[in-house]
Amino acid sequence: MGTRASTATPGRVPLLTVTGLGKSYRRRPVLREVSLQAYPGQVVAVTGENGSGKTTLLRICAGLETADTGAIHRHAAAGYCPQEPALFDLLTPAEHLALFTAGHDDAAAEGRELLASLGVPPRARTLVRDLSGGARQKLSLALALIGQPGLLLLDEPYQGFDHGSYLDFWQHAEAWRSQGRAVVVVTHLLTEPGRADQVLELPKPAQGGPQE
Amino acid sequence: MTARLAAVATAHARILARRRTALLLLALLPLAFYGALYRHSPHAVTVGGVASAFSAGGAAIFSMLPARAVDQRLTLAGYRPAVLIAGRLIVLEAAGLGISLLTATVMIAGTGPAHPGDVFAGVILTGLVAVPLGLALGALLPRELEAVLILIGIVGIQITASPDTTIATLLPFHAARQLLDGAVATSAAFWPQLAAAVAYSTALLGITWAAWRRRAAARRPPVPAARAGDPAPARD
Repeated sequence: MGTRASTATPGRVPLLTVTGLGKSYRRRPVLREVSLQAYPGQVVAVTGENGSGKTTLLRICAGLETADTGAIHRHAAAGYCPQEPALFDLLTPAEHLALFTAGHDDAAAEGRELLASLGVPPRARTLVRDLSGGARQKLSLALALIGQPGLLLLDEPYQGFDHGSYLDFWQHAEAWRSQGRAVVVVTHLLTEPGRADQVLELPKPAQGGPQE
Repeated sequence: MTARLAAVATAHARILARRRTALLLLALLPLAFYGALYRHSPHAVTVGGVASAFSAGGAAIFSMLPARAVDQRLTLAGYRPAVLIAGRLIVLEAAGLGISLLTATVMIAGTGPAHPGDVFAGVILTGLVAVPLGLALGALLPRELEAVLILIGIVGIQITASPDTTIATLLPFHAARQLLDGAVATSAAFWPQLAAAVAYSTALLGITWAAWRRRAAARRPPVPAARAGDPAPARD
């Protein structure tokens, strides 16, 4: 049974509007009639079983895949953190920052602050391949936050985090919410639903009707 | 644009420089082919020169294919696929040139060909085409194994097929092979071979760009017309 993730906020423009989204892979439906709106200052949690299309939904919202049906409208720059940290194994965190912020000193300084705030020493010479899974995920998250995007699309961003880092993440999410950003978080299991303003539960399309 | 191109080239140069064992093997591979033949075959220079395509093309494949997810993130950060490809091209062609010079120098010292300049030209043209070929295979194919097998097939047929056959003339290293064959016999005209190699490289880079644009680039969703007081639209 799906949940419409739409809490109307009169007078405010949603930073992300997804309407009637559908996607199939080789005739196998993954997403069917998914709709959601994310307003400034909201955290939207996207939950569901394995194979329910959470990652596909976020990739479509980020512009990395196309939907078969439906429409997406974004009203802010998006920062995207994939489920598997997409990083170069043979570069250091600082070198990733230099690559992602090429020619923009302000953004590079912001990236160093972000890394420090997430507990990753930005000037460490350690290559990404030698970092722990949690540290890689933090670097991946920091790269998604560079440029202060208004819309954050985070796909299980705390995979590999220890409990303290997990709590820190939600503190950061609270700060992003208070800054007026919209945060869409994919999570396998939302153990604390109170942390989100909206919850979109995606059923497996084969098991349910429209995912609204 | 320039800063981003420099950033991509710097990143890939660092990555390549940190793979020291791979670099050593890339340099030794064409010499191994040459070394296996140079006392026994008149075609040792041709085989060693064209075999340098295994090194340059293989390095390009492994620079491209595993980086698809990172490149997607970089396009979200504002990079254009052409810049991501050009940054790799600069680094890989430079590395390919180094391998070519080493290979040509050793082969000239070992064989003493009649036209040593043609050995340099033939091996350099091989690298010039092999890097775009590897980039194109990396952009088109889903996994490394498929890409490497096709590279082995193309280079292997180019080495073994008689240069007069239709298949040999259609393959990408025919121009380089003409120069390498001519180095130990009758020298081949350089400029037509250079033109053919440049044309092949350009076509392969066009294919790479089109494929990477499709597979690694981000698509911008439509933004509805702004109303008064709305936040600024996305610029990513």
